[in-house]
Amino acid sequence: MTDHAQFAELLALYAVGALEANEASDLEAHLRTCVECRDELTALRGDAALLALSAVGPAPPQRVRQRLMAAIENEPRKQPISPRFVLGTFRPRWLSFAPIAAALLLAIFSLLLWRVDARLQRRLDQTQAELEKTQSQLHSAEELVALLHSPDSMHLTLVSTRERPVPQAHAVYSPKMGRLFLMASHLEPLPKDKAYELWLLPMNGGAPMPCGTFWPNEKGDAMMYHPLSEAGVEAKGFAITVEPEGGSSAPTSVIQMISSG
Amino acid sequence: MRLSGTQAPNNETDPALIERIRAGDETAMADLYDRYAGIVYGVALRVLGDAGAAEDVLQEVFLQLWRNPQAFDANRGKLPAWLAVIARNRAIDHLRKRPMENDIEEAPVASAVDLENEAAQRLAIEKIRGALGHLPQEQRKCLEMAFFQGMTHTEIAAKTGEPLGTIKTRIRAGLLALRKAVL
Repeated sequence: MTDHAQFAELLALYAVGALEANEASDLEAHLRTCVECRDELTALRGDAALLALSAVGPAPPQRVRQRLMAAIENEPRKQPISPRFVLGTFRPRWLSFAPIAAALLLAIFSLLLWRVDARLQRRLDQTQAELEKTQSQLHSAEELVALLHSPDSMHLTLVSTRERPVPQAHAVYSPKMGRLFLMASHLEPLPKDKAYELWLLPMNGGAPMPCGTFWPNEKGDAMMYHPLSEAGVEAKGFAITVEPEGGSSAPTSVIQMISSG
Repeated sequence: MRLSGTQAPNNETDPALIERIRAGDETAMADLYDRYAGIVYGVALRVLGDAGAAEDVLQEVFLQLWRNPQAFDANRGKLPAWLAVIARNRAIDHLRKRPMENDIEEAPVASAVDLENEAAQRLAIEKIRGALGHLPQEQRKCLEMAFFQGMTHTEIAAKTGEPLGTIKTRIRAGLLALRKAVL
């Protein structure tokens, strides 16, 4: 019997997943070069699918659908304009206020447009809950613009305490509004169970206040807009540590980045 | 027997839904879930015998599809059949405490039966159950052990005391008989 004929005999076993691992890889090597076997396998997998269908019974609980859609919400967006592009627009030195404000406004508008574009792609018959969610996100964006323009807003740059590479972050904080906006780049990637956490260092020398957790994307960039639990806290500066992914109420590790001046 | 969610049925074809998913349309994902969650869950539950574990596999399969919709080639096979096989493989990985593969396998799966709506699925399932009932018991047992219990042909031969060649023949004959019964 030819090799081909021998492999052809194994296709049904492969289709139901009954081959040993080494037999499967030998067959896979053959499949790469044999169209006839690939076609037969496609058909046999169809038969295996029929077998699978015989198992269908009670419907799954609704909670799985909800969990799935929530997980999808949290996935990185599939969008042409990415936040990384936005950050790339204004990476240069933070020397004076005006170019920073202009660059940040560009980031804000890009963000708004990106969000608006995503909305337009959805189906027109959105539910009221989705509409309300959109309105609250736009409200947050409006607050963000107000934060940038607020006369008492501090604009700080945080730099890495290490030599190289150079993680960098820019924080905008308004004590009056109790709102904080952070943009970071060149962050080191983190293991799955950890997150970066931002801390406000109070002027009065009190304990560092938690200011939100964030994760870098695959480019090492991150953005965060965080409402603080109380307004009116004067800040001496800000710092970033690595914490467990749910965040901590007090820093549990060394400072990775800290504001200067 | 309720097969899918309580959402209103969507009349778009599977390839159209997959296109929208590729464009990042989450509502298309919800529609696809409503259409085929019953199949994925049913297979996973049969393999695992545990509702919680089956729910995990269900979520994982659809999340992987969201992340990697290009893994399914609409020109070369049918989505529900493909999902059914993926569901079985993920469930077996779970059963054997193997790490679930992150890449959905790309090999296509043909399907002679229409499965794109609840009524068609019900009809197909009845036909298939009838066909299985008519299979010789040894063929049915071999298919069951291989497909739902994840046993290799070597393991089945050891368990039943039958030669390897016999197992191979029974599985092949069983699959072809199923194919014929639903035509």
